[in-house]
Amino acid sequence: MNYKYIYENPSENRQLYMYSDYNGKEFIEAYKKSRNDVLIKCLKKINRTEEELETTNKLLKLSNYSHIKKDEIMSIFCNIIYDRFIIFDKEITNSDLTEAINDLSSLYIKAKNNQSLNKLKLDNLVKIFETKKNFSTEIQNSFDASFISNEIDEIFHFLFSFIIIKYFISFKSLKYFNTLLKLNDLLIYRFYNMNFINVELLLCAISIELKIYSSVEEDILGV
Amino acid sequence: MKFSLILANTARSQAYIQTLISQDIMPKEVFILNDKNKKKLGKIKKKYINSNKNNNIYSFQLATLNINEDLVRSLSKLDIPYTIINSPDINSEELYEVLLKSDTKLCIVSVYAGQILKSKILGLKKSFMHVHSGKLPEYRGSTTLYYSLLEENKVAASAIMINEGIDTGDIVYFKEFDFNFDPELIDLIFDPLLRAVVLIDAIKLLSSKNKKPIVQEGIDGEDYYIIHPLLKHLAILKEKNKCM
Repeated sequence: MNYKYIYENPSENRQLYMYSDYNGKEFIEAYKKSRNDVLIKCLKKINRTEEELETTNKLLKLSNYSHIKKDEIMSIFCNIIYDRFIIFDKEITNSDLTEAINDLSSLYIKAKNNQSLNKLKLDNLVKIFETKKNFSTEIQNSFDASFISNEIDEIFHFLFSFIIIKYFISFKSLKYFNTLLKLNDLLIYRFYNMNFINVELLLCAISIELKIYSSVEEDILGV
Repeated sequence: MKFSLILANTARSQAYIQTLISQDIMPKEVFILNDKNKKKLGKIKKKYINSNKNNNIYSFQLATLNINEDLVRSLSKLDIPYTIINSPDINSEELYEVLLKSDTKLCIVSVYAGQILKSKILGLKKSFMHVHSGKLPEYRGSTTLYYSLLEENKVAASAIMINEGIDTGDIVYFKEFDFNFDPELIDLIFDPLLRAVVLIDAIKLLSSKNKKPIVQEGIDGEDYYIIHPLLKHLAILKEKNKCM
């Protein structure tokens, strides 16, 4: 069976997750295979790039990702996002940001510095993502049209990914893992269907999700 | 006590009307939100329907659901007056006009997934009661049965008076249960039955006038969003493992 949730754009099919069918353990295997396929495709794509970024090289060296510790991937994830994020820093400080984009930026900095995160702000971001299915409208309302690109859209979604992973690791509330799964479904959909730029970030995000999933599965099913 | 029912054409509405009738609690009138394109969710799927008719009746506590019996058939059997509203939308002008003329003060609603009552309909001089399948204020929002099974091994339902927030209205009645049902039937069988059980108790409580609704503290609790299929599978597998 196919893991179908990466083949449809949740912004266009708003009933995507409603009344989902139960398909037993086969579904869980399909999910794992689908995520592992994405990791392999990411690695192949990174391999083809000629960039000599330190972080990219580090990822390539760690191609046997199943043995990498979660903290190590989080550290790489954080560093790559920060490298990309600071490119927008000037624009961010000059822009008339919506509250959501402002919160994404400030919560990311706090998460990066291992500071406590404001739950009300985070919950508001979760609400926006869950109801609108992405932050694209917020991004469009925050930045000059000439500045908006796939890259900035991706980066802000990865900031959100980093924030909810950090919060989930601290508090273990399944509500946030639930949102992370949907966010990654969306990013994979974009990876397969659009011009996707930040492949290294997707590799990190999916690797961490799989590691979190393993521990959640063990907690719930005891396997 | 006089009350109206506003029912989407769903399994939950079937459980409500069938359970009310079985308890001899009759609505004064029923408004059925017609889903002409049949695309709305929450209906019994064909795979649930067993060729043996006796296997199509489910129960939980005092609630009952015969999945072969549609809303009109249940109502017609006892000549309960009903009106078909030619829109699935709870906020339609047609329903608003009909409610404006109705003299019942309490409306019990069972709407299609994702719908919320807007300020215009809430502005009518009526109370709208909804049964949420979760403990409030702890579990607000969508598919909270699965979250509470994963986090607390319990299920609950809460009857609330609807306000403009999501599951933030005053609580009329709440009850928690141990889960002991086929977990594959949660969405379209158990959830409707659970809500129907609490609906009956809530109506009895409102009739007795002994208890006033409890105001929810705004900052307490958590908002949940529709459960991802992966977590839903874990919740179902967890319950199945318990039975083995």
